[in-house]
Order: sequence, then C-alpha cells, then structure tokens
Amino acid sequence: MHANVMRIDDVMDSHDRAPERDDGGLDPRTKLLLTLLSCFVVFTAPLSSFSLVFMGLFCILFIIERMPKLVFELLAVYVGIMCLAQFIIPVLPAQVGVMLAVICYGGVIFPCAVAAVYLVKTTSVGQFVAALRAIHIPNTLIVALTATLRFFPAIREDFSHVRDASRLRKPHGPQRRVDCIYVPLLLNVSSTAADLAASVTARGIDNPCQKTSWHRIGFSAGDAIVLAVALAIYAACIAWRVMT
Amino acid sequence: MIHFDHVNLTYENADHPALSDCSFDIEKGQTVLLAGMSGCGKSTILNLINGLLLHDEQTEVSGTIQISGKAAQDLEQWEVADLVGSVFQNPKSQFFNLTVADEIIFGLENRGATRPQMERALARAAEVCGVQDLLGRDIFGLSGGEKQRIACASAYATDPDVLVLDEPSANLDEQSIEALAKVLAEWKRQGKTVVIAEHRLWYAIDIADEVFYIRDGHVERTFTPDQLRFMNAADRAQLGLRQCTRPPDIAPEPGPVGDDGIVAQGLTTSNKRIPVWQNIDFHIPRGRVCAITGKNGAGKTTLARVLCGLKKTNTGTLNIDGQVTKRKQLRARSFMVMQDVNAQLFGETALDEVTFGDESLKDQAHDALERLGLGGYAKRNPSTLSGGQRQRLAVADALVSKRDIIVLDEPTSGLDLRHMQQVSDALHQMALSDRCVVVITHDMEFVHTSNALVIDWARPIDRR
Repeated sequence: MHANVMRIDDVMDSHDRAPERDDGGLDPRTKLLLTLLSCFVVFTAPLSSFSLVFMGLFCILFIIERMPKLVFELLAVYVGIMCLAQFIIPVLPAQVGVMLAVICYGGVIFPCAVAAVYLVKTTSVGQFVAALRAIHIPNTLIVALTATLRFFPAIREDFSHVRDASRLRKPHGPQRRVDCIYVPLLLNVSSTAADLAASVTARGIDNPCQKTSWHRIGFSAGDAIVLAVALAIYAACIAWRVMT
Repeated sequence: MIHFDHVNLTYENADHPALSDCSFDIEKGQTVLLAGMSGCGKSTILNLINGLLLHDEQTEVSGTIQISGKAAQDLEQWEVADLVGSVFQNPKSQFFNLTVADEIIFGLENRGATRPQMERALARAAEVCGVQDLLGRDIFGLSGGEKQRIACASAYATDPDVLVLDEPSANLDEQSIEALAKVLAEWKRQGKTVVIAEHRLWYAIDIADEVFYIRDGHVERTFTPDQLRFMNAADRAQLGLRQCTRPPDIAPEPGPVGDDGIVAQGLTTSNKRIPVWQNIDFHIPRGRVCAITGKNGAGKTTLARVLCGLKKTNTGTLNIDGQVTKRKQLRARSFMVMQDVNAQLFGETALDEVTFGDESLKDQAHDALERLGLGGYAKRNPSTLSGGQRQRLAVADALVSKRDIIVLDEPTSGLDLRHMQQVSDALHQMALSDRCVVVITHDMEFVHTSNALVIDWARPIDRR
C-alpha cells in the first residue's frame, strides 16, 4: 500500500506508461479489414499462391511487431498440416483419412486464422472496443464480443485447474472421465459468466448515453500502406479468378 | 441514505424467503458492517442496494427501498449504478477488462466521460486504493490482494455516494486485508456511505460505525463495534460470529523430529523459467494438521501442486516416511481440495460426488456429509449448492477418499464460524487416522481453531 507516500506527479507518470494510443502499430479497424480481406482471398482462391502471399504479409507485420517466434510457430503448424494432407493422408485407410481431412480444411482457411491471431495478439481489448465504437457497432454486440475475448484467458485458467483435479482423482471408465472434465468446466464457465454479468451491470454498462473510450485510435501512413498492399493482392486474386 | 422498509424477497424456486420484513436505515457517511451466518441474507441486502436483484424478473421483491431519497424500484439499473459502486467476493471473476487501467476506467467509459475526466478519476482512484504501481499491468498476473484493491478502485472511480462490498477479504492474506482496511478508512473519511458484508470481522469492525446482525432475512439486532468487541466468546459463538480482534501471532514451535510424513529437502521450482521458490526444506508429520501460511503470491498454490505430484520440481527430493517418492506415486496417494473448488466437483448428486461411484462408501459418505453440515443436501446437484457448501463438499470428498496425503488450498475462505469449525473438525479426523494433512491458508483464526503446526511460507526467494 503506497497511498500515503504517493505524489500526484507519480500518478501522472505511471499512467503515462499505461497502454493508450497506441503509438506505432496499426489501427484496429485496419486489422479488422485485413481479417475480412484474408477471408475474401481464401474463398476466392483457396490454397493458391495468393493465400501464401497474404500470409507472407502477416509474417512481415508480426516481425514489425517484434513477434518473430509466433511467425515460426504459425509456419510450423501450417507446414505440419500441409505435410499431413500431401504425404500422410493418401497412404492411410479411407476411414481414418476422412476424419483427418477435417484438419486439412484448417490448412485451407489458415490465412484467416493467421489474420485473427494477428488481430488478437496485437490489439488490447480497450483498443478493440474503441475501434468497434468508432465504426458504430451496437453496444450490445460490443459487450458480447469483448466478453468473449475476456473469457479465453479465464477458460484457460479454469481448464488447467479442471485437468489437475481429474488427474488426481483418476476417474474410471470413459463416462466418468468425460464427466470429470466437462461438468466442472461448464459449472465454472456459467458461474464466471454470472459473476461477470453482475460486475458489468453494477458499473452501468446499460447506461444509454453515448459511450466513450479511454484508448485513442487513428489511421496513420502505415495503415494506408498495409491496406494498399492487401487490396492489391485481393485485386490480383480476383483478376486471376476471372481469367481462369 | 439507504432506507429499507418491510422488504421481503423470495428467489425463484426457493421455498422460503431470503429477506423477510427487513427494515433499517443507514445515514449518509456511515460505515455499516453486516454480520451473520452464511445464508442469512447479507448478500441479498447488498444486491438490493446495488439494484442487481431489483431488475431480476425471477425474484419477487416487496416493500420500500430508497437510495439517496429515491425509490430504488423506480430507477433504471444504470441510474442505481451511478449512486452505488460494488465490490464482489471473487477477485477472479469480477474483471471485464484485461489490463488494470482499462478496468478502473470502465465505469467512466460507460457513462460517456471525457478523456480528461477519465485521467483525473484514474489518478484519484489509483491513489486512494493504492494501485498506482499496477496501472500498466495485466490483471491475470496479479495476486488476490492486488485484484481486490483494483476492484475497489474501479467501483470508486465513478465517485458513487454508496459503496457496497460483499466479503471482500475472503481470499486475502493479512497484509492485503490491512491494505483493504486502509482503503475503507479513506472512503469513510471522504464521507462515503459504505456497507460491508463480512465473516472476518476483526479488520472491518475498527472502521464500522454500526454492526447489523442479520438472521433469517432481517436485521435482528444492531451492535456498536464496542459491544461486539467486549462480548464474551461464548455469547459471540452463540450468534455464530467470528472473533472481533485480530488473531494473535502464532508462537513458533520446534519442528517435528523423525522422518514420518513428508520430508522435503532442497526443493526448487519455477514457472516458465522464473523461480517460484528455491532450496526449500520442510517436514509435514503425520497425525497433526499442518498449516502453511504466507503472503498472497508467495507460491503456496504451486507448493500444493508439487505435493500432489502435479508439478515438477527442478531440484530436491520429497520423501514420504523415509522413501523417495516420485510424482506418479504422489498423484496416486494425494487428494487436493482446490481453491477453485468448482474445478473438482462433477458428481450428479453430493452423495455421488463423495462416493465417486463406489457403493460401499455410502455410509461413510453420509457420515462425512453430516459432519460438514451437508446432511440435508445429499441428493442435491453440487452446482445448485452455494459456494461455501461446495467448499465443504470437497472437504467431505477428501475425508472419504482413501488417499493418505490431503492438501487443502484455502478451504475456509468465506466460511462462517460454525462451518469453519466443521472443517477444522474434519481435518482433525483426517489427521487422527494418521494421514498427512496440509492446509494452505491465510485465515489465522482458522489456524488457531485447528491448533495446526505452522510452517511460515514467507516468500522463500527473499529468504535466501
């Protein structure tokens, strides 16, 4: 507790360090558009070199954000899926192959996944909300979306506790083993959801006024360049599609 | 400021009312402590003051409630939110944002505040609640005490006249409780009206102007803090209240001799390569309840996972009765009552949960449920039980399990006097059957009640 030794300039100093605008980095609206474009590219020309180029664009963006490790991880997953599709599934019995084919579908939509990872990893929830408010998304939808984002880390934590508990109790039989995971997980999720709902209601989430955002967002030259490149790729993709 | 007149409330599907003929007045600037046994209606009162229950269509409410002279039933939920700030019990699930500054500012964004207003509110709330150093941090990495102060800061940031707190100390160590008490004292100094529901009375009673003793859904008596402080222990126990003075420090005892039970030597463990604690020795003998106490964030939960074989240690050995024991063996021999007790309950009924499908344990299970005050709940689904009841159900699991190492992580957070004693008795029974019983706890009152052997887990990294 430092309240008694605190000076006001300390306060100003410490919240200057708090994440706000958000210097550098793309505007969250740009990232949303990129995600949308990646879906268009994938559905216009699945598994084409355009998808690959689009992923390349994200690799560069990740490196600019100083997340090279993530690039390697994502590439490893992609290469893994491609190897599965190219070399392993053809030699497997058909029944098993059909089941694994679902994973291969993941390879097709991989660029969208990369775009989503980029959006989530480089955007704070506050920035995301600010962006959604800026494009006039209804408040109820914003709350639902951000609550979902807020849920992932909570569920990950819950899940590790649930796994610990079931490792200790060593349930017998498949039914019990499944119960051991999903019953507590559901209980946890529903009680977390109820608590969260109470907490946001008690802080006036349903106030009908025009909401404001602590985070400042804004377009920069970087946004223009990235969007231009992405649009160019998409245009090329459509052109190729029309021609063939 | 707050006026309740003949308020009755019945929850959906409940057979008896949660509040019956509840009337009281709280003046502006008063700090009132709500005391009483679990299920007496404390939380219900708070959730009426902050409006959450008024707008819940499944709950039947009658009577008059006024906040700041306005009839609460006529106010929209967000209008009540302007008048009343709330701090809830569980620090884990009351945060909507992922970073501290975002969380504190959240209420202001909802009210459409301007950026300079937000900056001022953030600076003020951070200073009053002692969280300046945490503003840029990610909430998930913080200790329970820090989270609870952030919850206070975000309730206070919008400058409400009334603040309600529901068992805010349930998961906190003594140091964090004292930090919380300072926040409450500052609120009182500023003339806020504060209503706190608590089982742990000792820290809150110094700040309170009045204590409402709640029983059967209404204010049965009001006490001045001094009346409670000077009440003899028997009368207080009769009311089911915990002690009103700070639990005394525990006198150190000589460590146990011999090698029965768990003997750890040179244990070191780390999370993601960051050491949690290093080079630790301790001895947990059989036949006596051992309490591991220490600050929030000292790595005690990690210790629980190590003792149950759920976490690897980097160096050191764990011997049980002189035998080196591997993780897999530890997992087969141990039972953990987790802090997050929801993670481990999955039976269809409380009885099924305790027997774990083994019919031969039925009598034992009934006996265990009875001991923990859950005799009437054997056929209930665990998810329909209250938080405190679930906690005791997991203790019943441990009692019946055939494991000989029982680890309990904060088993008494949020239990009233009677239930705390039931848990204490259950632990004694386990220890008497020659099991190793390890309780990780901040609750010094519980440590005294259970006469446990104390191992002080002062942050071992600093100790080195």
